[in-house]
Amino acid sequence: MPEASTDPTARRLGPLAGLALPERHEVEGDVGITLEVPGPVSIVGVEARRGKSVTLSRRVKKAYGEMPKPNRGAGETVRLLHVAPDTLLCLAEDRAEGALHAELRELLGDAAAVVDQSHGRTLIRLGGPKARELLAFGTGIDLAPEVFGPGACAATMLGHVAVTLHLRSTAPTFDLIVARAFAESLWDWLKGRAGRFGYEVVG
Amino acid sequence: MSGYRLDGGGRIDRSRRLAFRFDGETYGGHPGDTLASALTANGVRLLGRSFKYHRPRGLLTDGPAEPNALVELRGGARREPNTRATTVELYEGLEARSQNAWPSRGFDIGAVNGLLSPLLPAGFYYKTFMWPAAFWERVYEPLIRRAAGLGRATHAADPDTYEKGTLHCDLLVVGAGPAGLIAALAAVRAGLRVILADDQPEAGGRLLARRAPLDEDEPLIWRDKVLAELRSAPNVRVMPRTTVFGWYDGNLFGALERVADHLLAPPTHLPRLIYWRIHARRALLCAGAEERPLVFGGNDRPGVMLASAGQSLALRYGVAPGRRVAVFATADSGYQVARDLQAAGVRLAAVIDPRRDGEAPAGIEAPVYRHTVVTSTRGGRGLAGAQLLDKAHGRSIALDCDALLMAGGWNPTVHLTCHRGTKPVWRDDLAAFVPGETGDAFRVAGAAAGHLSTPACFASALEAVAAIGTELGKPVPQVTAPACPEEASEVTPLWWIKESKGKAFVDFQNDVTVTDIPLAAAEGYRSVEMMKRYTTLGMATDQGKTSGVNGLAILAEVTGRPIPEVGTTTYRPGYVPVALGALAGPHVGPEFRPVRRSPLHRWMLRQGAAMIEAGAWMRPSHYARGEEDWFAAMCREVKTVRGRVGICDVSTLGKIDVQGPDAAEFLNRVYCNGWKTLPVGKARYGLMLREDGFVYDDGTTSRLGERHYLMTTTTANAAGVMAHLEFCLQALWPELDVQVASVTDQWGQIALAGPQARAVLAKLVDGLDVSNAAFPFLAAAETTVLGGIPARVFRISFSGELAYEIAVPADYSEELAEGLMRCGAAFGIAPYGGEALSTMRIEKGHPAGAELDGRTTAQDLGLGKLLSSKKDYIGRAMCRREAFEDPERPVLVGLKPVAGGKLRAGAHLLTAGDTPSVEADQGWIASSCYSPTLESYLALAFLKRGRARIGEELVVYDPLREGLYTGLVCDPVFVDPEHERLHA
Repeated sequence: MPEASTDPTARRLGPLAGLALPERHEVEGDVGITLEVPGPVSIVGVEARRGKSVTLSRRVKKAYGEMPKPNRGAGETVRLLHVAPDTLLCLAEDRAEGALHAELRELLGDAAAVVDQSHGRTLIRLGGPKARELLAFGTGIDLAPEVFGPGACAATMLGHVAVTLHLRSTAPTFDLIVARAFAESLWDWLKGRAGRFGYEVVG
Repeated sequence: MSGYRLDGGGRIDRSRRLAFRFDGETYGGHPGDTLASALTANGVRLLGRSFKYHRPRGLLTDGPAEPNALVELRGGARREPNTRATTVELYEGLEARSQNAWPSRGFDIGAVNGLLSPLLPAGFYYKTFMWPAAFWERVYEPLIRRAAGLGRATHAADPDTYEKGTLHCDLLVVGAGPAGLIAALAAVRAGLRVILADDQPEAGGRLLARRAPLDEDEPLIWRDKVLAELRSAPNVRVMPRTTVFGWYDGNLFGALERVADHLLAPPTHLPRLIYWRIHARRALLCAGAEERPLVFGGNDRPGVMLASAGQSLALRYGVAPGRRVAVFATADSGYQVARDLQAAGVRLAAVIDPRRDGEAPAGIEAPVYRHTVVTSTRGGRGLAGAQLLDKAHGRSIALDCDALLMAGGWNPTVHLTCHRGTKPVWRDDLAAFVPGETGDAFRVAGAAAGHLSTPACFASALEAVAAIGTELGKPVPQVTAPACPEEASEVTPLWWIKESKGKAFVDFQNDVTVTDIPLAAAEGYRSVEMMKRYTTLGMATDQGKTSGVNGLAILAEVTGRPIPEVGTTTYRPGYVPVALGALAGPHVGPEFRPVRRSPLHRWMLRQGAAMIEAGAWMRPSHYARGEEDWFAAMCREVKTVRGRVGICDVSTLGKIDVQGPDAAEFLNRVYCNGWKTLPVGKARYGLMLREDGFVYDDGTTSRLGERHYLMTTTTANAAGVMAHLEFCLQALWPELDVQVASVTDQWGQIALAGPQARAVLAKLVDGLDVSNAAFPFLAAAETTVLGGIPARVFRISFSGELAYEIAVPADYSEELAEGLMRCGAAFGIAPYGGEALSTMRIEKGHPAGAELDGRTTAQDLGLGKLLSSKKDYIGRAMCRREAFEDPERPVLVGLKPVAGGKLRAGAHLLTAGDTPSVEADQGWIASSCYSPTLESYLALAFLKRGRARIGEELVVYDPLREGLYTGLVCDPVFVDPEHERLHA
């Protein structure tokens, strides 16, 4: 009988394992795009129960310092993206299996449905000076810095794949959150276009 | 001068020579040339044959309006017909062929059509190919298609890639001529986000082809200063080789960027074309104007071209349009062209001007004939001379010339402004249409607005940008336009030279002559739209850019109406032809849509799975071993599951997390069966109806906690059911406190089925008691497996065997599969695919996609007992309709062949002795399979009064495949009808 309850996080095998390998492809001696698959990432969906949106905001603010405005993200150790009315997507890196889910259920369990999506969503980090130009081949959203500034997030499509887009920093660095089953297709779409600008896959 | 290349000047790189081929002959040119300019430089003037009369044709224009010089560009899979040689940038190795010419462009048998032309008037096809009707498809249409010209498309697959994208800006400037450049400059200085799109490889517009100074210097010096400032600004995107071809609702523009069209083949990673959608808060059209041809006898002979085209040849490409060049001008701009040519070293033969008034402008070193017209031309495949009529003196003059430039006035490029329904407005002073009122979001400046002098172009552009800046809250600083000399720009229209001899063409591309228009009018086609369709004037690739205004002016004259009353035809997007590849974009072939991959995708491939598409998903059909084909593999897999134990990926099933205090009530409303009594830790089969009472979807839903359920759906309907649930919660019952979330991707799930399933599971779990007593059929538990991996275990079965489904967070899926294979090795465990799964569900009589096809009811499927009478649910009101209770309705039965043989889905059922007919039809086979368990074909069928006909022998009618044979009606559950294995 196998032993129970050791954290299995190290055994996680994401959809891009073995695909997102470090490489560098330059165009005219330069790379305009960086791609990274951070891991392991914890992602938890939170949707307020009926009439509990104020409770949700208050507890989130108390625990994490800020309740982000709609279509914005906030938070450092736990990043909270306000992706739909009364709905948050919460992200953290380097947590044990189920830890973020447990933390949020403890905090919000009576006020919100808390659903672990850590394995159901894949995070791809897209950066580099040409990141916006690349994304313009997919999304119809205006990503100009004065319109879509740091912290902004949006639900959009890239190459027919539904993606949650979050601008982490002005660098620019975008976090793309995609349904796991489409992660490889999105990866192929990104790399297919990154070749025009030169790219580096960061290990 | 070698050939027609001038010794100096032009925007070409004379230090580099490019070799290219036209109709198999090799020629040379320079970077900066177009195919048309390079051919002209080589003395090639005959570029193709016309569409109807197969007359020799040369180039008419210097740009996208070109009606004559259409070629097939490139060869093989990249062959592109109807490419305008005037827009093709020359590259090393270019290959092109002329069109409409057989056997060669020099000698064309079709030219006999010209001799037959009295028999080929406007509307010829409509008049001739009318009867007998049966001839149309078989005789007339193939005949017409072969005779009709234009190029041949390739049948090979397109080797290039295409892209689509979206851009946003405060101001889109269409055209980078003088007006567009100064507009972009002013807007950029004001801090607006600007896109400057221009169809040419370099900015400048007509500045590229004229000598008139700006700021008392060469015009391109000013242009370069502007471009340098634009390039250094962060808020402008300059897009050369980009044609804005359409204006759509919401101030959305369509633009085509030719990324690699000027190269032999696109470099790796680059698309050939990009189709851009440009969202512009404001747009400014600075697209300039197209020059008008003049309509006189023989005006289509190679060597007769627009004055602007001749000017471009000489000044932009350094090519003499001819060795003796005459200019026929009804507009002052013709004199400027004559002077520019003269300065470039081109010998002038004469300037011919029908106007009688005023002094001829000075500085022309050639005879200037006032009050004179050209009545005909002569020459074989190229112009040799023109016949003039001096109307002042009533004398005829024979003029030797090998090029004749027509300056018939200017048509502002109004097309984009018309794409949303605005009609252009006639201006008598310009003898042209100018854009109608298009509102603040889309303004027009420069020649496109009817400003024909350069100072007026600059002024109108600056005025427009100033207004835009004010509207957008970004005041535009003072921008000074460069000083430029005043230019005469008077036009006296002369729509057709009535003294003409020989064919005088109005529409060169469609071979419409000046006599076709009165004929159309005489036959009743007086409306300009009818005239277009009857004569074909204004159709095809150029869409009447050079012919339209001349044609309707002539129509106005012959019908005795003013031009504004005749109006124009409707200008629709696109302004230029847009390749179908660009419309399709990148999503073709394997990229047609993204692929959904199970978390076990790569594991299954390693096990030898043959994958097939199931919607967007890839699913395994079977796992072949050795030489097995799919059938042998399926049979082995079924026997493994029925005899020992097997595993199957079921991760693709839809999984929906349902939470909240009202979750049970919610399930009660969306399913037709009851949910209030389901205890925590149990699963139940659920059947979902549509509002119209038909079956929508099915699956098992488990209660994981007091207020927490996990719903599963079929793979095919997963997204639809999720949307349906969200609609129910948001629109139908917002009072229910329920939250739903798709967790399909979160869990990797494997079915473990077969008599040894429990033994395997016991080794896998971290201590869960899986005995039959502790974990009976339809039990559900949250636990861990393989030493700490969170898992959900359900005892449910699709195969009919003792079976479990084990779900783990998806990143552990491969570990789960490996663990199951390890734990089951001693029992002979093997993975099984969709073929085996489908066979087993038919053996077990489980309805699936072929039975839940949207036309069947719960009663049809034998699931009528699930319809609760104690509660309301979606579909309840409609599922008891009279027709649903009709005993004649076909219901689900099983079917076996009587004397061996196959059963095939799609076959119909007949009562023995009946003749096949729609009236005699008793039902149909929905699914069929070969059952390795029963060693027979089996089928699930829908049969009228089916349940009363168990044991009856029917005729199976399958005319496409097996013909007629006999089948025995039986219970749909073929294997283990007492369901003992499920509960074992």
